[in-house]
Parts: sequence; structure tokens; C-alpha cells
Amino acid sequence: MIRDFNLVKKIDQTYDTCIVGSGPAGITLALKLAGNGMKVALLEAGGLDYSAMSQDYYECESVGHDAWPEFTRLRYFGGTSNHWSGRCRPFEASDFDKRLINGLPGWPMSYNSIEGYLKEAMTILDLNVSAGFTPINKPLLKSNFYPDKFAKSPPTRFNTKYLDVISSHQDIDCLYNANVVDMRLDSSHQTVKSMAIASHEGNHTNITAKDFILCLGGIENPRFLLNCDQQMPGGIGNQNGMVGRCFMEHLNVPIGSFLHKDPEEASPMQFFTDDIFCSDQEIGKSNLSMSMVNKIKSYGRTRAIKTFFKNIACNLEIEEKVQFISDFSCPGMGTIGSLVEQAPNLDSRVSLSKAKDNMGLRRAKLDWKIAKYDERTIRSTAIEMAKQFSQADLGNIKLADFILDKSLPIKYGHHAHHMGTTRMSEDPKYGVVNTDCKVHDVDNLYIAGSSVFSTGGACNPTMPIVQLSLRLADHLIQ
Amino acid sequence: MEYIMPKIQTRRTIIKSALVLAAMPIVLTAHGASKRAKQPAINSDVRLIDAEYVSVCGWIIPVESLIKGEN
Repeated sequence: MIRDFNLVKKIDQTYDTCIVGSGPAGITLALKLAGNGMKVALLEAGGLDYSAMSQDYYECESVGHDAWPEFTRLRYFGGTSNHWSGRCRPFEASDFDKRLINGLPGWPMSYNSIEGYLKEAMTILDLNVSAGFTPINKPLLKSNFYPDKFAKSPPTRFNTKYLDVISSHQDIDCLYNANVVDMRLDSSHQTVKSMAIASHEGNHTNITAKDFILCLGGIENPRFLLNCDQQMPGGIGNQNGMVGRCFMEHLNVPIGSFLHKDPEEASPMQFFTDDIFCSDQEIGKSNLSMSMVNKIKSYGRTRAIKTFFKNIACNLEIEEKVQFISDFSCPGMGTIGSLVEQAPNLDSRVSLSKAKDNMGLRRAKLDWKIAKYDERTIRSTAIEMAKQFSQADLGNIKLADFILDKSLPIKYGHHAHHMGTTRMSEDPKYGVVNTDCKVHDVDNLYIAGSSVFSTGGACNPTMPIVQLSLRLADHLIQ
Repeated sequence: MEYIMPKIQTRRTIIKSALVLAAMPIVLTAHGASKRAKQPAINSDVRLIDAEYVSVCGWIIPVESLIKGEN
């Protein structure tokens, strides 16, 4: 069932599991656990639709590179799935190789641990399981790049797809307008006893359960843990000061532009760096997307004239000037975007601002920092791509000034992928959760979502989030 | 013989094309002048990437084709 917490007078039952957050991780967990007979409380701080009042809680102080945390997340039933683009690409086995990056360990588990959940996750995200992941372009011969394989979800909006399912499920008690404001531990400080929740209209109560799972996203998961500092100075799970550290994004850098040798054959391309190249160069992985700009738009009797101008303008490189009088783009011309892996970095972090939200919780302070390692990933990958594009005789690439001139600052953008802030590590010194996604030193507190990613690879995180959530659900069922 | 005026749309197209044609020499001349003025700067923006590739104004091209005068 689904209820507005503003209208709920009393909750007098203990649940098997209390899930905080109704995005892809929370809903996936709720359905799988309830499907196996467990009584689930699913808490959503926002309403059933977008509201500025709820979204205001995502206002935060940004002091590093700007990742636009206010706009890249949505705070209502279905969470950020309500505006994701739908691109799905699985992690690779090599993403889970045992290695040190920036002095930090990578994933403490193998890819096999989540590979078994791939088909189930694809079904949840409305992907064609039999079609799998396919490239959109041919390979470059003898290259360090291979055509990237991915699939597109419709995209699945968890609000639209699952609202009725959750509403009619007898083992799920979904409360919306239910903001978590504190987490109470027992006297040993090793077990969560209850979750304190409050509504915007002053209603409040405690939710008790055997297990608790935070599914609030890469910024809110650490923010909530850090705010729970009444019993544990510095916040719950933060004995080693790791909560909020290693905030990672996928870097969105405009690499440059290209001119295809054969405009008639030119079409969008996506390439991915291979493992040997990344290992040899000691850099992260990257997806490079080559998109065509609009082809010449001319019709009827002016076509011949415009084509004449186009040829002159493109050959003399005065296309921008001629564009004022004759609107066209050079055929075969395109731009190169990127989705680049950012290495975990202790200095890139979510901490707490002095400002408080309407519930009295301190707002997030985001300091997104990018290391030299990441700069090397971007520049090495871009230059190698430009060389191999030419070598393959496809045309030529013009790199952005900051790629070749290291004195210029790189233009960083983001992909709205917030990862790593409660990272997984066997050693509590380097992470917040263990391989079961359980918070170190707390017996019944788990975390789901991209905040547990030890490294982020260069793949879109929603599908791996669902895979990891299914794996966590199996762990709790067993 | 009766003369039929072209439709307004067609007349606009002809006028626009004529304007484009008229403006072209001005654009080309202006570009030529600016290109001549910028010539030393362009020559200085050549970077050696490695033994096989150079960057010319950001374009990555094989050293071989630069020597041959291609691209």
C-alpha cells in the first residue's frame, strides 16, 4: 500500500526491512524483498510528483567544480529515474581487478558477483535481454579503441512503472512525505533500533525494523550519515572519516571536433578505450562519442548555390563567416564528447554545510575535486583517439586547446552520476561498507546505490545500481 | 508576350541569392586579409605529438602528410 505520512496517525508494527528512498535502488529492493515474503517499509521524503518545496532539500553548498547537485537529482517517488536518459552499459570484469588507484583499493569483489543479476536488471529497466548490448559503428582497425556496446532503456520511469505495483502490494508499506531526520542506535552503538521520520506538516514517528537500507543517492547517503551525530560524533559509519569522501563523477569533457573524410558515410560513432591501453598508460577508462552536426540544409533552387558556397567556405575554413549569409554546416563535421572515469580521490568529498534545511538537518557541502590522474586520462585518451582516427583514414580530429596545452584549464562537465561517497572496501580504513553493502561496525545497516561504488568505470550507473540492489536483496533473503 | 511576375516566395529567394552572391567577394576578401595577418601565428601553432604525428592549429595529422603538403 502507499500512504501520505501527513495523514498517518500511528505506526505500530515492526518491519523486516526499512528502506529509505524510492529511486531505482529502493524500489528494486522493496519489490524483491516483499516478493519473498518480507514486510517492507519504503520511505520517500518527497511526494508522488515533483514539488519545489521538496526539491529545496537538495540545495547544497558547492565549493569545487560544479556538479549541479540541485538540478541533477529529483526528490519524489521514483527519484532521479524520473529524468534519466536511459543509456545502459554494464561494468566490465576488468573494472573489478584488484589494484590501487590514487593509493586506494578498487572493488573488493569480482565482476561475477553482479554478472548473474544482469538479465534481471535489464528486465527491470525494460531492455531487450536477447538483443543485449550492441555497438552503433564499425571498429577502427588495429586500435586501442573498440566500438562501445550499450542499450537504451525507454527510459524506465520508476514512478510511472511501479506506483500502482507498490500501491497494491500487501507486503510493502510505502510512506511518502516521510523525511528521515535521525537514526537511533542501541546502547552498544552497533545496531540501528529505529529511523525517526517527520512530515513537512509536523507529523513524526519512529520506524522499527530488523534491517535498514539507505538508498538516498550519492550525495544524500553520506549527508544523512554525517547528520546522525547525536550518538556517534562525526556521524554513523564514520569512525575512519571515510563517509562522504571519494565523490566521483563521470567527466564530460568536450574533446574537440572532427571532419569525416567521406561525408556521405559519416554517422555517429562511440568508442571505448581497451584495457591494455589504459593499463599501459596508467589511466582510467573512457567512452568517446562522435556526433554529427546537422548536415547542409538547403532545398529547391538555392541548393546549387549553397552547395557552391559550402565547398568554397569549407575549403578556405571560413565557414563561420559564410554562415551569416548562408546557413549550413560542413558535411562530415562533428563534435566529440566524452564520459571519462574519475579515479577515487580522498579530497573530493561531500561534507556538511553550516546551513540547515527545514527539518533541521545540515545541508550538503560538495567539494568536487579532479586529480592529475584524471587530467592524464583525458589528455592521453583524446590524443590517442585523434591519432588513430587519422591512421584509420577516416578523416582528422581537431583537439580542444586545453588537450594539447597543459597550461590551460580543462573544461569539465558532469554526467549527473554521483558515486563513491560510501565506498565499498574490505578494510574499514578505505571505505564505509563491506562486500555485502553493510556499514562497517553496524550490524543491520546497509547502503544501496552508486555511493557504494569503489570505482566508477566509464559506464552509466543505473543498471549496476539495480544489479547491486538485487544482490543485496538476495543477501538479506538468505 | 505577357510577362508574369514571379510569386513573392520565388522573388524573395532570388533576392536572397543575389545578396549572398554580392556579399561573397567581400567575405572572401576580408577573410584573405585576416588570414594574411594571422599567418605568423598559424605557423607557430605546430606541436610535435610524437615521431609520427603533429598538431597544426589543433588538427592532428601525420608528419608524413605535413611534409607532403597534404591536409
